[in-house]
Amino acid sequence: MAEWSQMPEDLLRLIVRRLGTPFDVLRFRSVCSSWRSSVAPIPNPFWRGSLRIIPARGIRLRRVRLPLQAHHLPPRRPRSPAGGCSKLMNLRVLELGHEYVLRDSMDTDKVALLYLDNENDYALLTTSWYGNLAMFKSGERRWCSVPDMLSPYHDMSKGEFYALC
Amino acid sequence: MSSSSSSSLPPCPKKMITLKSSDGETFQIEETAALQSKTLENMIDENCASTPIPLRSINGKILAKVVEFCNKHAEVGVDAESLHAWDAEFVNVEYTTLFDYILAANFLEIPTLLDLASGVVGDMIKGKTPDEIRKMFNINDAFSPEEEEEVRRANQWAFE
Repeated sequence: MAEWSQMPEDLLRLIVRRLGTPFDVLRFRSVCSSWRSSVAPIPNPFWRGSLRIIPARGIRLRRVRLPLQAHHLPPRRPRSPAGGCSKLMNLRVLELGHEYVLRDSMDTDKVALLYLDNENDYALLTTSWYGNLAMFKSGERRWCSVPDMLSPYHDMSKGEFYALC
Repeated sequence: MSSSSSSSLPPCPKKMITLKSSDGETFQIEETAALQSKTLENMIDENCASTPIPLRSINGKILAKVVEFCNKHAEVGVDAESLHAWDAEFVNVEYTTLFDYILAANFLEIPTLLDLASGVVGDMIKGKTPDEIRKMFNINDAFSPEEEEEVRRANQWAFE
C-alpha cells in the first residue's frame, strides 16, 4: 500500500520542484505533517508597491483579493445525465497570477500580475481594454490586446482570473 | 532471439543481466538497457552482475515496468516526440503505481524515470487544495489539532 505521507523527504522535494507557484507550495505544506516538514516554508510572496508601467508615471498596484480564493472552485452542481456544467470540476485550474488594482488619476482597473521566469520580468493581464483581454509585458513596456480569443471577457467568480485548460 | 544454431555468422551476443524481484520473479535485461540505472551500472562495473541481482524492495509487477522503461529508453533511433508520448502513457497509471515507480527509480537511480514519475505527481497536485490532495493520495494522518492550529497560524498571511 502506497503511504504517500511516508515518502522520503528528498523524493517529496522532487515533487515540489514541479509546483509552479508559492501557493501550490503552501497547499503542499498543508497536506500533512511529514509533507510540511519536507519543504521549507516560503516567504510571503506578495509584492506590494508600485511598478513602473508607463515610463513617465508609476502606477500603483494594490493587492485586493485573496489569492487563495482564486482556487476555490465553484460548488459542485448536481450531475446532470449528460454531464453538462459539472464537467467544470474535471478541469485543471492554473494560477495565472494574483489580482491587483491598477490605478491612475482617471480610473481603477483590475489586473492580474504574473511574474515571468526571469524574476525581474512580469506581465499584467486585464479585461478592461475596451472589453478585450490585454497584456502588458514589462520587457515590451506597452499594452497589447490578446487576439484570437473569444470575447467578451468576464471575471469569473467575483473577479478572479482563471485559466481553464 | 532465436537460439537455433546455424552455420551463418551468429549475431553479436548481447550481454544480459538478471534481476530478481522481491517476490522472486526474475527478469532478463540487456546490459546496455540496465545502464539507465546508476545502481546497476555500478554493479556491472564492479563485476557484481554475473549472478541474479536481488532487488528486495521492488516487486515483480513494478520491476517488469521498470525493465520495460529501461529497454525503451535504451532503444536507438527513437525520436524525442514519440518517446515523450510513450513516457506520458507509461505514467498514465494509478497513484499507487506512481508511488512505486518513484521509490524504484530512486533505489535504482534512474534519473529519467525519477523525474518523469515525480514530475507527473507534481503536475497532478498543482492547483489542488490540501483536502483534494489528501483524498487523491489517501492521506488520513494529516495533523494533530495542535499542528492544525500552527498551520492555520503560519498560513495567516495568505488569508489576510
